[in-house]
Formats: sequence, structure tokens, C-alpha cells
Amino acid sequence: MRVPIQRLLAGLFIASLGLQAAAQEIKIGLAGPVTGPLAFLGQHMKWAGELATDEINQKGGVLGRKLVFLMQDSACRPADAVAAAERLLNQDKVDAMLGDVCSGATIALMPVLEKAQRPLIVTVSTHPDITLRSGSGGNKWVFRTVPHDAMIAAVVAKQLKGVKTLAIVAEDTDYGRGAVKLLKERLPADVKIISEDYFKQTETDFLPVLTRIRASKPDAIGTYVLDQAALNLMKQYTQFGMTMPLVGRPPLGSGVVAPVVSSGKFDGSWTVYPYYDKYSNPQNDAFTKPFIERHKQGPHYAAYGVYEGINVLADAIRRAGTTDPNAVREALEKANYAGILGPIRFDANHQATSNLMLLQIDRGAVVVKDLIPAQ
Amino acid sequence: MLTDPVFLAQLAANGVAVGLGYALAAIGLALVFGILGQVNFAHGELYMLAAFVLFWATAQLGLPYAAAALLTVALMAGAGAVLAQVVIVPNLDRSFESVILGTLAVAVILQNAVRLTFGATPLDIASPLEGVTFDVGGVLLFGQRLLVCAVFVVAYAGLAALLRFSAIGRAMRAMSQNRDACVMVGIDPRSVTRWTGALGAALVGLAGVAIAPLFDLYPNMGTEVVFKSFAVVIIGGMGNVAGAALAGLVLGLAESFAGGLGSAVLREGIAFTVMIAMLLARPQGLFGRSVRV
Amino acid sequence: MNRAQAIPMVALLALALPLVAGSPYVLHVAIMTGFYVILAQSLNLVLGYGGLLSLATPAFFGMGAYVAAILALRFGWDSAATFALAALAGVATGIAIGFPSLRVSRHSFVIVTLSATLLLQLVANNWEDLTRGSLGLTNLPPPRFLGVAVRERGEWYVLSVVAAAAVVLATHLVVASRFGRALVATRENEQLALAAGINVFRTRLFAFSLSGAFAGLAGALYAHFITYIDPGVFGFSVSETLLIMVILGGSGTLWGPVGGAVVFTILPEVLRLTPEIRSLVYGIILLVIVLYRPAGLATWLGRRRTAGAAPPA
Repeated sequence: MRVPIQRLLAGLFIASLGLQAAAQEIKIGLAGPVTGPLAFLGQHMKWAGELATDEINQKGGVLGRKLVFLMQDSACRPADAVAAAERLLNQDKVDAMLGDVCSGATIALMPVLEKAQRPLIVTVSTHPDITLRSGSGGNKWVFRTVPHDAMIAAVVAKQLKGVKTLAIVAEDTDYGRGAVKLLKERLPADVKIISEDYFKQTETDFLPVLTRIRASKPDAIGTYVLDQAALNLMKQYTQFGMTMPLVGRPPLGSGVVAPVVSSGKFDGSWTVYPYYDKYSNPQNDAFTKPFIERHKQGPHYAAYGVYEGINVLADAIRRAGTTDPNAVREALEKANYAGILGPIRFDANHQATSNLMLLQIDRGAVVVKDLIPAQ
Repeated sequence: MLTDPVFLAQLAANGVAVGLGYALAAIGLALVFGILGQVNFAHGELYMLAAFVLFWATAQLGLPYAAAALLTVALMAGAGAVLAQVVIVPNLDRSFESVILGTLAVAVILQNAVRLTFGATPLDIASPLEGVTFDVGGVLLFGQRLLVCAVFVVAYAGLAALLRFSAIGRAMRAMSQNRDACVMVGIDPRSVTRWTGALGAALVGLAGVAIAPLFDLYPNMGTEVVFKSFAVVIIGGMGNVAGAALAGLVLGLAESFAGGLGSAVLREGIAFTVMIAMLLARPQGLFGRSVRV
Repeated sequence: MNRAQAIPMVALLALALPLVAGSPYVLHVAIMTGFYVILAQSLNLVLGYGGLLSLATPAFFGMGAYVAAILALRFGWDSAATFALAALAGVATGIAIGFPSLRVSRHSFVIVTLSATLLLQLVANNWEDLTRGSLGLTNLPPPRFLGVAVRERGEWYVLSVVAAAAVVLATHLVVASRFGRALVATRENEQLALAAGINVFRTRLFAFSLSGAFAGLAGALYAHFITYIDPGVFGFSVSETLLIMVILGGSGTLWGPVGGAVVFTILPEVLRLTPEIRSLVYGIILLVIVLYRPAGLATWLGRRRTAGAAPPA
């Protein structure tokens, strides 16, 4: 083969730019982890995006136009997220975007969307800085539909009343570190943190720290890890026969940990989460039923976020009567969308206030103890 | 608490169990390096593949754990031979970077092929030993982890016997010392390469089937294993199987005490620190390079 | 096609890119390509010319990124100063890592450089007062060189091309110098180099720290361009990408790694046409190239590999 490689690649590259889609479609883009350790969450986001757009299109689309959902891989890394967003914005010409899972990637997306003047709905990331910088905080193109870590920390701190000693087990990321820091600022004075351990996100071996915690006997273990690490942690906790409850934000409602939760060894553990797929109300049933039919598993929090995000966007475009970005942004600012867990309205910082769920394990089952408004 | 003998014994028991797991996962890598002088960057993905094959055999074929494990190890040996034929044989006379890149490419392919086949949702393998815990004077020993230790002992003894007493084992040892001389006495280096690839993959397959039920399965799970295995192989002396075994044990214990007496972050840093310190003190590794078991 | 024709062609192609498309996306990819050219040249110096497989490039890159970001955010210094200090941070890191690691065997060197890099990542994660740990440093301002700010994509593109060209030129000058010949001599035959009176350790340490300067500069550029950094900048994935660029481009040649950086920055973007199987296709393409073009894409330019041959293990 004597085709010069540059010419070949240049040809391909330019060909990839030429694909312009029909103008009447309304396009929503998402940069998320298709590959990498968080591919599991990316998969749920993709499924939710497809479900939401299919449902809307079956009802005739938005403004009589078809809704198209496009996802590009960010591997949850800031630079890749920016490249994915640039492609979606400039080549695919998306009308709006949804944010990534990892707050770092989402934060890197914010200036890109501001420059491109397209709305960005943050539906999964929970870093408080995103809100701080949005709306009246500076970036008027960014909106967030889910409560952020500071709002959650306030609720967790209140729930910790009566706990005297707390051992922290958290992931060594913006999520784990940030959430623990916010919790400490809000902790009642009589709660003492006796140890803090931070693990890398993909950690599997919790034996040394569990051995120490088993000996130091805290009243509870403050847990800030994602689903997969949580499964390994909880398996090893079970093997040690430990009994102190996991509190804070263990992902107790996740399908990933369901087998260990149902063993009944985590009774009394509780968590504050923005979503639980088995929470039953007409709106949530309408979301989870078709989702489970398609994918044989309940939607993850990340799926819920994307599903709501697309519906919030569709609602705003409908009310704006156009996809003109400025009109859509103004419509978003006035949003009063009937979401799954209550109305979604954005404050001056474009942060929606919705309900948080207090989940508790009771005889091997996850029970929704309370719906607490996030503030 | 820090002087409580039961607490310290528990840390030691954890360390031994985890460390022998590291050793089991690493000996295949040490073997391939020792005999072929090649670094296999797809080592972690072979481990991941073994775990997913085991899942397929137990959950989808419905085989019992032991039968599924044997089937998996056999399939892994085949996969190892194919990998050796495709990536290592054509590069036997090229620089070692070619194999590094080739196996890196295989790693990317395997990760994505498994993701597209099994999906990204974490999976869980049930093992009969999972719920078994022994209480020895307050120190807890866990069934599946004891199995890992036992598998390590058997695998290590088997490998030693194979290298010492079988014809192919002798050919492998000969190749580790002088490839050109092998050709002269009628040993085909390509054949030895395929056998070594198969043996290395079977060993990491054994590690996969023994260790996988302890944790969740996902397409990127091999990345962790490959870093730890590299550390173990380096500390043990590149290519030295006995050194790798001992290094795994040392690392497991060091991590256990660092995490138990210090913090998780300290534990995280200990592997690198031990490795750097080790190399500065003894650049040739614990025992120096040679295929010894 | 020979080398004399290939070089201007690659250069023209690179420079014409924004004119062909002009979209911010193409510019973004072109700017990132410039950064990768610098990083690839940083690795090429050590791996290609020095014959040492280093995984420490992300350490230099990350140090450069953090130094530039912290100085810009805390003190608002001019970028002429912060970029120079970022490059210096790369040099210092090169000396700090090179001093112990260049004394161990070639294979151990690989792992020591990797371990040192991951240790730095751990430090960046835990020194929260300085780095904000895993929360990362956000809202980096546009770089400002002697008062002239670089904001628009077009300006960034010029900056990226100029920086990449400067690094390629610097590599050329260094390699053609006495020192460069000494470096290649240490790669070809360490004993002979020693006998010829070359201080092997010092030669390698110098190459390593110069590699640090390049990557440190790339880190500063990257930090300001993406406007956000976190300890992920020390990640192994950067090394993985760079190895592919340098070796498959043609290690130990001046233009091979440049071509590798161009091809392997653009290829994953082209593959976004099929987002689901993009990484799978990437892996397959990579494997095919390794098997059929093991000496690097430079051989496509019809040039036999001589000086670029990596030493046998």
C-alpha cells in the first residue's frame, strides 16, 4: 500500500467533518465515560438519554421536530471531555449539552459551553463549585438539576445527631474529599471523627482499614465511595462480621450492592441520596418500568439525572418556541418542570432545589425513610 | 490498640493472604519476562479476561465453580498461546518496545471487546467459599482467601516441577539463558515462545479464577493488577519467579501494616516507596535476574 | 517520497488545517496536537536518542501544569515568567527523578520512573493546601505574555504551533550538537561511550532534565488551555499515548514523533464517528501498525530507519 498516511488521514478527517445532519432535528449532546473505570455510569447515561428522546419523539417530538441524542466518550477526563464537547458543538451542531459524571470534566466543560453560547445542564456532578460559578455566579449557560454536595452534607450532618464517634472511609477524588470536607464544616460539635481514610476510586482491598476500624469501634462508618468500591467494601465488612452502620453516603440503593444489602447485615445503615430507583410514585414508575424492560436493571442515579435533564431541556425548548440558545436559556431560568421527585426550578445560581431521599436498610430491604428538601 | 496482639495478628494474616494473591497474579508476568525477556502489558487484561470467562462459565453455562475454573484456565492457556504467536513471535528479533506496544494494543482491544460483550455493569461471581470464615483465637481467616493461598502453593510447586523435570520446561530454561544456542541444539524458539505464553496466561488465569470472586468484575479491573504485578516483579528481580513470590508476600504485609497502623493513603504509597528504595539498595532486585523457582 | 519532501508537507498540512475547516473543534484538535508534539519530543529525547524507556513524562508535565497554575492563580504573574518556571520545574523534577533512577538497570528504570510519577500524583492528591487535592485548580485565566493575552482559539493555535516548532528546533540543535552525539553514543554502546571519555550518567541526566523542560512547558500550556487541572495530569494514560506516538512515529528521529503526535491525536478524534466502538477500533489499528510497521510510521515516508533504531533489549 503506497497511500501516504497523512493524505489518508487528512481525507478521513475532512470527511468526518462533512457529515451535516438534517437541520430540522433538535440535538442534545452528552460527554460522558464510554470507556474507563466509570464506563458503567456512562452506559446508564446513554440508556437514559435514548429512553428520554425515544419517549419524546413518540409523542411527536419537540416543536414538531425530532429530538436526537448524541453521546461522545470523555473517559471522565477533563481534556477528553472538552474535545468531545467541541466535536458535539461544532461538528454535530448540538443545541444543548448535558454534563459529565466527574465534576472535574464538567468544570472543564463550563467555559467551552459559555464560549459556544449553548446551555449546559449538569445532571450528575455534585461539586459545589459548579453552582458557585453558574447563573449570577458568572456562567449564565450552566444549570444544575441535582442537589450538590454542600446541600447533601447539610442533611447528612443533621442525621448524624446522636452519633458520638465516626470513622470516615471515602474515595480519594473530588467527590470523596470534597464531601467529607463539607461534612466536617457542618458536623454537630459532639460528633468526633476518629479516623479518615481515602482510597483510590478503583480500590478493592479494604482489609487493613476495616481491621483497624473493627478494633477502634466507632459508632458508625461515614462512607463516601461509589457503587463498585462500595460492593468490595461491604463484602469485606460482612466477612469481618462488623455491625456498626454505614452512614453518610454509601450507595445503598444501587443495584450493584443489592445482593449484600439483602443479606440483612447492613440493617440500620442509612444514606442520603438524590435518587432511588425503587421509590414508587407515578412519575418514577413511568421512568423505571420501560428502563427495566429495555435493560434488565433499574436505572442508576446517573441515568435518572440524564433522563430528567433531557426532559427539562425539552420543556424549556417547547416554552421558548425555538431552539435559539438565548431563548432556551431564558426559558430554563423560568423553568417549573414537574420532575420525578418534585418540581425543578432554578435559583439565581441556576441550581435546582429538589428533594433528597433518606434511605435506610431495614431487615435487608431499602426503605425510603423521608424526603428532605435540599437547600 | 496498636499493641493488641490479635489486632496485629489479623493484619499479618490479611497481609499474607493479600500478598500471596499478588504473588499468584505476578508469577505469570515474571515467567514471561524471565524466559522471553518481554514485558507483557496485557497481563492485567488476561487476568480480567479470566474473570469474565469464569463468570460466563458459572453464570451462563451453569457450571459449578470448580469445573468452571478448570475450563477457564484451559481456555486462558489457549489465549496465551495465541497472544504469544500474534504479538511476541513476530517481534522476537525486534526491540522490546515492539512487544510493549503490541501487548498494550491487545490490552485496549480486550478491554473494549469485553465491555461490548458483557456490558459495563459490574458483575459478581458467587463462590462456595465466600461466606466461610474461620475464627482462630480472634483472628479471622476467610475461605476464598485461603483458597488463593492454596492455589498459589500448588501453582508454584507445579511450575517448579514443570520447569525442572519436563522437556518443555528445560527448553524454556535454556531459552532464558541463550536463545541462539537453543536454535543450534534444535529447540525452536517460536515453539518455546508459544508454550511460555500459554503457561504465563494459564498462571494469570489461575489467579483470575481464584481472586475474582472476592471482588466485582468490570472491564478495567486489570489495570490495578498490572501495576501491582509490575511492582512485585521488579522488587523480586525481573524475571525471577521465586523473587516475585517473596516480593508479593513482602508487599502484601507492608501494605497491610501501613493501612492498618497508618492510613489508606500511606498504604497506597508504600508499593512505590518500597520499590524505589529496593531498587536503590539492590538494583538487581531481591535475588537478581534469572529464571529460578 | 523522501524526507526532504515529507517535512514541508507535514508542516503545510499542520498549518493549513485551521484554514481548511476553521471550526473551533478542528482548532481544538490542532492545538492539542501542538502540545502532543512537544510531549512526544520530550519522550523522544530520552527514549529515542537516549535509549531509555521513561514513564516520567507525565511527572514533568504535571509539575509544569501545577507550577504554572498555582503561580497564575495565587500571584497573577505574567505567563512569560510562569511558563519559564514551569519548564524549570520540569528540569528540577527531571534531576530529582533522574538522579536515583539513572543508576539502576534499563528495565528497572521503566518502573522507577513510573513509580516516581505515581508518587507525585499521590502528593498532588494529598497536599490540599497547595493543590486543592482532587478538587483540582479551576478557572485558570488566559495566559498573558508581557501583557498580551491569548484568548481566542486562533491565537491559541498560533501559540501552540510556535511552541511546538521551538521545541522541535531545540531538539534538532541539541541532537546535532556534541552533547547529542554523546547521548546517541551512550544509547548505542554504554561501555564504548565510557571508554571514549563520555560521562554517561551526566549525559543522560542532562537529556532527562531537558526532556523535563519540554514537558513542563507543555504542562503550562495545557493547564491554561483546558483552564482546569487535577492530579489526573500525572496519569499513566499520558505515557501510554506518548509511547505510541514516539515509537510508532519513529523514535530517535526528529520528525517521526512529530508525525506520530499528529496521527495519534487526530485518529481518536476521527474515530468519534463511531463513539461506541471507537476504542476497540483504535486498539486494532494500533496492533496492525505494531505488527506491520514496527519501525514506525516514518517508514511510510519511504525512508529506511538508521539512526532511529531503538536499541535491542
